[in-house]
Amino acid sequence: MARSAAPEAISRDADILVLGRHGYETAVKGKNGFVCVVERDRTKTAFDKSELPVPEHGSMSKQQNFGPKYGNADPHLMFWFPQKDHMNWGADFPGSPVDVHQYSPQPITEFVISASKWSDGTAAHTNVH
Amino acid sequence: MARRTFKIIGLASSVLAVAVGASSQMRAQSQTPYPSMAALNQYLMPDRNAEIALARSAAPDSISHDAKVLVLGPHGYETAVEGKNGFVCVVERGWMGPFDGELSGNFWNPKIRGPICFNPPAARSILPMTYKRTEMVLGGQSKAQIIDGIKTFIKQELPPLEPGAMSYMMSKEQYLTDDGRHNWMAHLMFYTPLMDGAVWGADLPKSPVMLNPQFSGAPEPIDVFMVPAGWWSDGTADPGSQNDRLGSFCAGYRAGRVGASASTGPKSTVCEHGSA
Repeated sequence: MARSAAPEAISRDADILVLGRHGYETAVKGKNGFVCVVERDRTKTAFDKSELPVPEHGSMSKQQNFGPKYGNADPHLMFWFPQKDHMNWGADFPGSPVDVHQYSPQPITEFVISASKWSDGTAAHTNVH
Repeated sequence: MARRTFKIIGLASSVLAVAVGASSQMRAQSQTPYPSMAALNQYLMPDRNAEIALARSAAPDSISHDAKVLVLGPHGYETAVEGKNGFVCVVERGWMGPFDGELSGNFWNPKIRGPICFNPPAARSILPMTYKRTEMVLGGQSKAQIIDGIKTFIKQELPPLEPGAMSYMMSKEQYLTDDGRHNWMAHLMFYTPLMDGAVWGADLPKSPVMLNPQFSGAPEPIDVFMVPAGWWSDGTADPGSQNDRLGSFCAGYRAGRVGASASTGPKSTVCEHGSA
């Protein structure tokens, strides 16, 4: 399930974490720097753990579930920045494909961009704005 | 994944291209219908308002309405409309593509129109490269002279790349290639220091992220990652984002519509041997 967060070409060589009684444990050691995990309050993610100006992660699993309000939502990519940077990506403007979410209390700004396909390559029904 | 020795599809703010080896690159350049600069007036848009509208169409109206808009004049880009949200919209020309390789075939293509809206960090740290290349092109300099000038510019004047620099290219009216679908795909672009494209999972099967060979250190020390937007700036769906971009590209390649003729021109490593 964790691997389904990203296309197989990415998740195949990623670290895989699973949730145990005492926290996440490494189930599979990867070799491409990506880390895939099934989050509990935001289901499956494929993290890029390298230190980038734009840390990125994807959530493209067809089985993802974000609860009763959002269901399995759209497949998407996420980008994180320090909140202090006051980044302007045109997010949340009408017609923009970018959404923004301010973490709290963490000082992090998260940008979300929908992907048109699930990680298995099948088309997603992305709402046209 | 090491930095690719060949490119699949790139947007040289933006031009489609095919992956070829060094020898076939040279052959491809000799085959381009645009080997040198055309008459200046072919690059200019006589209707200033049309160029303003085209530039603004790069992003949804909610963003571009308050953006600064530039238009190309005989001596460079001029401010046509002052903005107030920090975005800058402009119609780039073919010379914003790569200098060498198959992608360079459209460098002097006077039909290329690449509407693009830079966000504030990109307007401060990426747009200066558009100004500089354009200044030298309009000054009548050769490709070699422009490359040398850019190298000097990078050392002496280019502002540092700002985190979060990105741009919108969502114009349905963009003209990015002579082949097939001229407007290719609505997309966003993200600018980073040079890095391994695999860090973003770029160009891997079924990944929505593409590495654009627009700069790639030749000579600008910037990498450009692209993500399909899914719809055009007018809100209508972009079917291109649903297509298999490599598959559709290779279909064009095999039909001889992309690059040179599939039977006589350079071979695409990806299309010949890949799964597309």
